[in-house]
Amino acid sequence: MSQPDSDRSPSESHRRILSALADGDATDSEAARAFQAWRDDAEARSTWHAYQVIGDVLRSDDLATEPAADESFLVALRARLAVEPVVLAPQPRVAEEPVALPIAANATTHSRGRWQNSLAMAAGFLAVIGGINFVRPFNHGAGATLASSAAPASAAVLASAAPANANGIVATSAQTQANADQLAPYLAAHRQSMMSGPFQMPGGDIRNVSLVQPAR
Amino acid sequence: MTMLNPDPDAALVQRVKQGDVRAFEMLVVKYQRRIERLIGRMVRDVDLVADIAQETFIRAYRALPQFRAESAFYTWLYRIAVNTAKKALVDMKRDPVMTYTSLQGSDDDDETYRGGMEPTDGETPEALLASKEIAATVNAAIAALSADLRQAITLREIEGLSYEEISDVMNCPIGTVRSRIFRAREAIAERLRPLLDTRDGNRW
Amino acid sequence: MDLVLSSGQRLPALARTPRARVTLARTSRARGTLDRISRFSGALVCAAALSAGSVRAQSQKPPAPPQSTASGESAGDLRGWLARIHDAAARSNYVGTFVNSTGTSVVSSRVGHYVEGHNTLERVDALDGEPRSMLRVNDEVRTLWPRYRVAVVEPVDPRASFPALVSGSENHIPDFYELHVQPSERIAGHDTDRLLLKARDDSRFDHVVWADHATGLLLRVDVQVAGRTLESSGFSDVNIGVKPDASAIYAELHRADGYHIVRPEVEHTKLEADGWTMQASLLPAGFQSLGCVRRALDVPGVAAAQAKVLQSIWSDGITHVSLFIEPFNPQRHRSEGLTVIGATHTLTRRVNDMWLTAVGDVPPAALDQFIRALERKQ
Repeated sequence: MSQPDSDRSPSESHRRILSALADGDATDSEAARAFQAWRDDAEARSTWHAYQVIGDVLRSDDLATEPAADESFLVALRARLAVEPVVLAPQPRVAEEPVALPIAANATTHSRGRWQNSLAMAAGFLAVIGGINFVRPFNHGAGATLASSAAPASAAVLASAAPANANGIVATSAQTQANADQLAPYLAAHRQSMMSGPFQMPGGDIRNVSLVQPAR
Repeated sequence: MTMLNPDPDAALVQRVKQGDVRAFEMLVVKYQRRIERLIGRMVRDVDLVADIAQETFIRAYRALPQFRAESAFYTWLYRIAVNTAKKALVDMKRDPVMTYTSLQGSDDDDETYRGGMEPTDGETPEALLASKEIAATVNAAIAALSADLRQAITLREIEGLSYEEISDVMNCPIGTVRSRIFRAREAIAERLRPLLDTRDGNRW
Repeated sequence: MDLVLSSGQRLPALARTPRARVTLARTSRARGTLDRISRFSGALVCAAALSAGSVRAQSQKPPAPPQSTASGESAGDLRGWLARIHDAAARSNYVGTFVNSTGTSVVSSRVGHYVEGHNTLERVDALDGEPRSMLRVNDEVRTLWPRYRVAVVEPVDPRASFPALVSGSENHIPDFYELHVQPSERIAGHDTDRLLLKARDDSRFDHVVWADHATGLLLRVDVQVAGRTLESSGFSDVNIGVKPDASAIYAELHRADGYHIVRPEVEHTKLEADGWTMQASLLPAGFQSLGCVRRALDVPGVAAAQAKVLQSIWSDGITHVSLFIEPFNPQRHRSEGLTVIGATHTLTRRVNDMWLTAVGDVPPAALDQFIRALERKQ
């Protein structure tokens, strides 16, 4: 007979979910709480470390280490991680996931793209793209052609799109290509309008949207 | 017959890929000792081992977008560690002070290595003593566990069985497996925590 | 020959010495987008503008970070933080590498910002894609495209759509975002204060910001939803408090002397002038109008006259949304639906004989509300 969660102290609650997470057995919401605990609670961090040391030593005595060494290792690594750009994985293409509608407004499991899915159904089309590389400068002036004879850089370059799913969301690559071409000028105008105002900004706005390079 | 288990690190890796850099630290804390031991068998200088280990984790972090779950995260990390150490050795091979054992091959299973605790160069007697004390404490605590708890945590950590497999073996619900492993960990951690808390308090 | 900006400002002719050029540090992963910088800073600057009023601090020392309560949240604190961030953006001299990470890739640019007397100068060089540079001197921005030998000149519109929102009593940002002061972290070698601006409703995203502890300069912003990062923009390295180097900007401007100049036309107008109105009750909470412009979109192969749109701009103080309104054109308007790029969502829809495009770093449901709120005035 397990204790109801409300009887447990937050500290014990953290420890339980860390134990589960260490074994890959935490639910989504437990994992989310565990990650939050890692951020906010030094005791939770110590617990995770303790559990990992226990596992290591169980496997082999010579994996025991001096704890201060473990700590300084992480502190040093943290400093190096802080200067790394945040790496983000390619966003999951919504069409790969089963779409369950209607979605409760207070659903606690945040399935990826929950807030995208329901509207996408209504909208009839969804594309998640890496970006648009819109390399031509402002089009309307005369002479907006390459001064040199070098070949122009490629225009819209995209992450590949997802195939249609059972719900009829279609995003073929040709479709997405056309979509990106269509949107680039709007995105450019949107970004450029952000500069208006009497206040200075640390950075600036480049004339055209030139977002990201495509995934390899 | 064991079935192929999902990678227990999957949730952590996924979280990092969603932009949570701090979650990567949890993986570091988990694998730092194993990675350092692996590298320590190729490189003797303890400071250099730590440097190469740091480099390994940074390279893993940067390459994470390319990591698809075709192998377990640790397998992938292991290969990065070996490559990073090899590269460091190549870069250093002119240094006459360095001695190193030859690489034993990437199939080597460092999990079952139970050699003596030869100090690597630079490790102080105090550090060695501290780690021996930790090992002794954990072993004593395991011995003091009730049979159920000991079996549960042994099946998980040494045999690598999943909760589902353990519930089969021990003939109990998965919730009980989870609870037993937790209680085993806590019983050991209770003895271990005083040793793990450093002088300066938590710096984690 | 002196260079004369459209504001009338005259830049003295410079001897062309190679030394005047800024060297770009090309990182091995150099790729670039420059507009991300405006978003990175613009979002928070808009916020700061709305909270701080139009008066810039005169003192040299940056104001200290607001003292927050143990719980970390109070409306006054949020305004205080935003004001500090805004001040730092305005006053700081810095050079750095700016990185934007979204979806599948990482792009970067080299940025310099200098305050010299009454002048503010800025330079952003793309480290990726088509070579281009953005150079700003006070209220005028020139974007140079060296391979095309084109310079696009645009004003930073001083005729703010902001003033109505600037006075403190109308600052509603804390009504829509909850401030959480989080444990500080180091970013790009600097100690930072980390703030979470948590959306109070589903019409906007969470923003996590890191501000340099010593000066308040924004070093990184992440847009998140449900703990998941949609986009991350920040400095991978930055040197704050450099000596202002105006020559880096002037020299580059002079280099572009022979370029073809393009001045896009942007006409300020009102929705009502074209017979439109927005039903306030249908809009997402907290968004106020920043105005409306008529402009020509930069559509390849389409003449300016055929690409005119009405752009209505809205903001909640932290983020903003554009709603583009134009006649439906079957040749150009083919994909109706939702597109996601990082934190930016775009929703297109045909409504009767019009084509609507809503763009913003907001959840798509919010964009949907903007589209639905538009109606013909009778």
